[in-house]
Amino acid sequence: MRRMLLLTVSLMVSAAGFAAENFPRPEFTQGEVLPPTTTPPPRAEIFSLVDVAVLGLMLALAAYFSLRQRSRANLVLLALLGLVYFGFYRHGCVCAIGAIQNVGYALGGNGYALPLVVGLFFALPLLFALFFGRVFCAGVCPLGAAQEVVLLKRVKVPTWLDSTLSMLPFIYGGVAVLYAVTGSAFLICRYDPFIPFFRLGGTDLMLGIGVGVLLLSVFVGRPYCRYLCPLSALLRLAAPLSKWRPQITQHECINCHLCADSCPYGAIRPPTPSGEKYNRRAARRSLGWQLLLIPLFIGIGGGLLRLSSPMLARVDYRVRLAETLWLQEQGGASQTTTAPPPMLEAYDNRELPYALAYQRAIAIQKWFDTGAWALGGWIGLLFGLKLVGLMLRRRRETYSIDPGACVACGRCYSVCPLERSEGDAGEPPVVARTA
Amino acid sequence: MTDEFPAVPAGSDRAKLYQRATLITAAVALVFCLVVLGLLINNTVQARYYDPVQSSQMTLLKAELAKQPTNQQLIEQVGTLDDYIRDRYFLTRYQAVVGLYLLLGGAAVLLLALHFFNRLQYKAPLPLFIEQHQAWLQAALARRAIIIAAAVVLAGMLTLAVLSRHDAAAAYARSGPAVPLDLMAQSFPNQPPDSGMMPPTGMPSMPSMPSEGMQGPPGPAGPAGPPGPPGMSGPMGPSGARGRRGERGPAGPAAKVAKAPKPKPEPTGPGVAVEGGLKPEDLVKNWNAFRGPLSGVATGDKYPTSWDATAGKGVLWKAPVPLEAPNSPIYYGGKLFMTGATDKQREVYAYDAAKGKLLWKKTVKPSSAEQPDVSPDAGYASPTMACDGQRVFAMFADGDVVAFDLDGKQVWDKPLGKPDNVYGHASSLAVYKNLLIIQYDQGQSGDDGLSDVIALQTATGKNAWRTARPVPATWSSPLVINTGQRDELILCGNPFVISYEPATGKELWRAECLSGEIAPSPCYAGGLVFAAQDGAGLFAIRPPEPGKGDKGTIAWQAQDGLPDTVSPVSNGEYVWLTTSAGLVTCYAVADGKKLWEYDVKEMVQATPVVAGKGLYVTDEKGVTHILEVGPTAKALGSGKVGDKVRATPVFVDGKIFMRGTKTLFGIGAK
Repeated sequence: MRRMLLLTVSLMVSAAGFAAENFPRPEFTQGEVLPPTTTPPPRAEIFSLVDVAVLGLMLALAAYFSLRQRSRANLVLLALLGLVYFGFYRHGCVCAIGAIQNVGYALGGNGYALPLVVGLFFALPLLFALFFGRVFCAGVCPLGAAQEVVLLKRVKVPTWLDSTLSMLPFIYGGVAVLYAVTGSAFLICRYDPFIPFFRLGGTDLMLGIGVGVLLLSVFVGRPYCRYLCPLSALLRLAAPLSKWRPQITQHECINCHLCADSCPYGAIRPPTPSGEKYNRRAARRSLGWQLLLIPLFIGIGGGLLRLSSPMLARVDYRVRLAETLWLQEQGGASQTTTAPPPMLEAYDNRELPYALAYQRAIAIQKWFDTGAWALGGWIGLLFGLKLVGLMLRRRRETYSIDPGACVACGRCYSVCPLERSEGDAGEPPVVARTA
Repeated sequence: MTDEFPAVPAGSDRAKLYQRATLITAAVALVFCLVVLGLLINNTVQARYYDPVQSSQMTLLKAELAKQPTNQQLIEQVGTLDDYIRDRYFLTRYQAVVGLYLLLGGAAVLLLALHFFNRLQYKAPLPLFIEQHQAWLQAALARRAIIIAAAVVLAGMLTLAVLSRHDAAAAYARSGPAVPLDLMAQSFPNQPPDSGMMPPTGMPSMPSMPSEGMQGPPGPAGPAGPPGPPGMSGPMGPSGARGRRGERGPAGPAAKVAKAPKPKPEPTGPGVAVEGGLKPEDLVKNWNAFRGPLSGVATGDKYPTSWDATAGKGVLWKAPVPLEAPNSPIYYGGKLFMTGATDKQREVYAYDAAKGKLLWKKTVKPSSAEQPDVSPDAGYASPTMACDGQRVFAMFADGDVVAFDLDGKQVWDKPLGKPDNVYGHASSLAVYKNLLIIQYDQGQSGDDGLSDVIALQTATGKNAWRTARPVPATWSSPLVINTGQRDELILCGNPFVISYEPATGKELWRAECLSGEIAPSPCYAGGLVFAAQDGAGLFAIRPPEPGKGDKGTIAWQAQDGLPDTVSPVSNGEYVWLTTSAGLVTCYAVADGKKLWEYDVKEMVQATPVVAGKGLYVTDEKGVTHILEVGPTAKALGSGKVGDKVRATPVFVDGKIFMRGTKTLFGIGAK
C-alpha cells in the first residue's frame, strides 16, 4: 500500500514537467499594437555572492550541527533549507557538483575563465570536507536532501554490491571531466535527475530518470549520492583526511549495533572478529600480486580506451558533424547520418570547406586520444586499488564510522543509547527498554 | 529521517492514537494530491486544446477569412475567438503553476505523515552481531563482484575499441585533408562548445561585449548637406582580405569542397574583384533598392503635392498586382520591379514605368517544399529587391535568393537556408558595386552564431565574403554609405550598430546602443548615422575617421517618437521619425533638438520620403500626407490612392510609384 502511495506521489511530481511549454508570439492582424518586448534583466552580480555566502553559512552551520551540537533534527532542517534555496529557488544552478565540469573546462585551455563564484562552489565543499567531513552532503546539497526526505522503507544494500557500485562515481566523474575538458558536453548537468523537479519541467527522458531515482530513494538511502555523484567521489577522498569528523558516540562504545542498523548508507563498519586465524604468508603474497597487477590494469584500461577514443569523441557534435560530412562525401549519408540536419544545413549554408570540419574534429580527436588513455588508466587504477583495499584487514574493536562513506546525517547520534542517556538524565537508556 | 526512537513508547495508547492521526493525515494528503493531479492532467489537456497555434477552429476561420478578406463579421469572429483562446490558454498556464505548487505541498504533507508513522512504529533491533562474523565473507564476495565488474567493463571497452577500428564514419580522421590551422581559427572564432553546456552552472561572469556607453554632450555637427550616394568615391579596400569567418581565402591546396546534395560550397576570397556596378549618375537617376540611393531622399524637386487615384486625378496609370507582399518597388531604366508571394507561389514582376504595363512575370520555384512559418505582416516576400544595372535580385522568406536580367531571364539562384526568424525574414537587399549585400540576421541570441552579413557576386551568385554578426534576428535592412573618406556598410542589430568595409566584410567600427527587436533601418546624413528603435532611442552616431578607432561616437540621442518598424529619414538638416501609430517627430540634425510632432492619425508602415520641399508620409489607408521640410510642422498637401499601402513609394524624375495591396500606381503629371 505504501509503495503504491509513493509511486503515486512520484508520478504526481513528474506531471509537473508536462506543463512547461513555450507560448508562441501572438499574430496581431487587426491593428493592435504589439507591446515592446521586454527582457528580464540579468541576475545581479551581488546575488551570486549571496549564493556563495549562503553556501558558506550553511556549511558552517552543518559542521556545527554535526560535530558540535550533534543534532540530527537541526541537520534535517538545514537540509530542507538547502533543498528549498539551492533546489527550488535557484533551480539547481549554480551547483557544486556541476562546478567540477567548469573547473575541467577551464583547465582544458578552452579560453574559458572560471568565474569566481563557480570556483568557490567547487572549492568550499571540498575545503569543509578536509576539516569536518562531508557536511556539505549532510546539510547543504539539495540533491541529497531530496533523496533524504523520500527515504521511507530502507533496504540494506549488500556489502559486496555497495562496494562494487561505490566505484561508479569515480568512473562517472572521470568521464564527465573528460568531456568537460575537451569542451564536448557537460554530462553532469545534462543528466542531473533532479533538475526536472527543481525547475518543474524537463524532457520525458529526464523526468523518467528523475522519477526512477526518487522511487529508488524510497528504499535505498541516497542512491545518486552513493553510486553516481562525482562530487561525492571527491568528498569521499577528502573526508578521511579531516581532523574533525563525525563520531557515533563520545563515550566508550558498547557495540550495541543500533548505529549500524540505523545507518541507511552502510557507512558504519562493525568490529572485526578477534583471534581469527589465517595464513598471513599467503595473504601477503596475494597482496603483492595484487599490487603488481595495478600497472597492468592501468595499461589495459588506458590502451583499450585509447583505441575506443573515436567512439567516445562522437558525443562531441563537432566530431559528429565531421563524420556526417565525410560520409556525405563518400556517398553514404542517408543511412548513417549522425549529425542533426539543421547542423548540416547551417554548415552548408555557410559554404565552409568540409576540410575545416575535418581538421577541427581531428584536433578534438587528439584531445580524446590523450583523455581516453588517461580515463582508461584511471578506471584500471580504481579497480586495482579497490581489490587491494578489499584484501587489507583492518582491526576494529568497536563500531566505527567510515569517514569517506559517512554523509554526516546524524542518525547514529540519535539512536546511540549512550548519547541518549546523556541527554535524558534520570531515564533508563532506551537500549535497556528494547532489549 | 526515520529510524529514530519514537517520542512515545511503541504500542502504547498514545502511540496508537498518533499512528491513526498520521495515517488519516496521509490519506487526506493522498486524496488531495490525487485530486490536484487529476485537475492538472485535465488542465494539460485543456492547454493543448486551447493552444493558439494548434486551434483547428481558428485554422478553419482563417482559411475562410483568406477567401473573404473583407467580411467584417468573419474578422470579428476571428478576433473574438482569438481573444477567447488566448485568455483560456493563459488561464490554464496559471492554473498549472498553482496546481504544481499545491501538489508539491500535498506531497510534502504526505511524506511528513508517513515519516511520523514510521517513527511511531520504530522498534530498535536486538544487538545481534551477524555482520561481525560475516566481515571477511563480505570482503571475499566484494572481490568477486569487483572482478566481475572489471570483466564487464573490459568487455565494454573491447567492444568500443573494435567498433572504433571499424568505424567508417571516423575515417576522416585517418585520411582527412589538412587545412592550415590559422584558417581554422579564423573560421571558428569563439565557437560555443555545445548548446547543452553553455552556460551550465550560471556562469555569472561570462564575458560580455564591450560597452561603449552614452557619450557626453552633443558634438559639433558637420555642415548639413545632402548625403552622397554610396559607391561613388572613396578608396577601395583590398579585396578578399582574410579576416573573420567567411572572409576566408583559398581553402588550402588539399581542402576538399563538398559533394553534398546541398549547394556546392565554393572557395571565395582574394579572387573576387570588387568593381563595376552602377555609376553615380545612374544611381541618382534611378531607385535601385529599398529607399533609393540616398536612403529616403529623392533627387529632383518637382513632385506632385496632390492626387486622388479614386477620382483619376493626378494619376498616370493603375496596374493590378497579382500577388500581394509588403516589399517596395524599385526602379531602373524605366522599369519597376517587385515581388509577390504566398506560401505556395512566388513571383517577380517587371512593369513599364511609363504606361504601367506588366512587362514580364516570372515564377520562382522554391528550393524546399516546406515554407517557414511567417507572420501575416511579414509574409513570404518581405525583402525589397535590388538592381545593379544589369540584373535585379529578389529574396524570399525561406532564404532563396534569385537573380534575373532586366528582360526577365533567370541568371542564377541561391538558397541560403531557412532563417531562424520568428516573424519571417524581412531585411531588404542592397547592392555595392558588383556585390549583393544580404543582412541575414537570425536566431534568438547574438551568441548562437547564426547571424551573418553576406556578399554575393551579382554576376554569378557566388560568395564574395561572409562575416558573422553578434546579434539575433533583425528586420532592418543594410545601408551602404560614403562618408567622404571611405565606403561603409551600416547594419543595425541588437545591441550594435556595426559598420563594415563593403568590399571585404571587415568590421570597421561599432556602437552599442540598440535593444529589442530591431526593424527600422539606419539612414545617413550630415556626417551622422541615425539608428532608432522603440524602447532604445534615436542615436546620432558619428563614424570614426579611418585609422582612428573602432567605435562610433554617439553625438546625441533622443527618446521621443521612437519607431518600431518605420525607418528614420534625414536630409542632413532634419531627421524625422515615424511611429507605426502615425506620429511624425522632427529633430534638428545639428544638436538633436526636437522641433515638432505631427500626427497623421492613421497607422503607417511605409518609410517616409523627402522629395523637394516635402516629407511624404504615406499611411496604411493609402493617404499621403505631405509635410513641409522645415522647423515647424506644416501640411503642404495630400494625395490618396484608395488602396492599403505598406510599401515605401518610389520617387523618380518627378513621378511617384506607389504599391498598394492590389494595385500599383503611377502618380504624376501627364
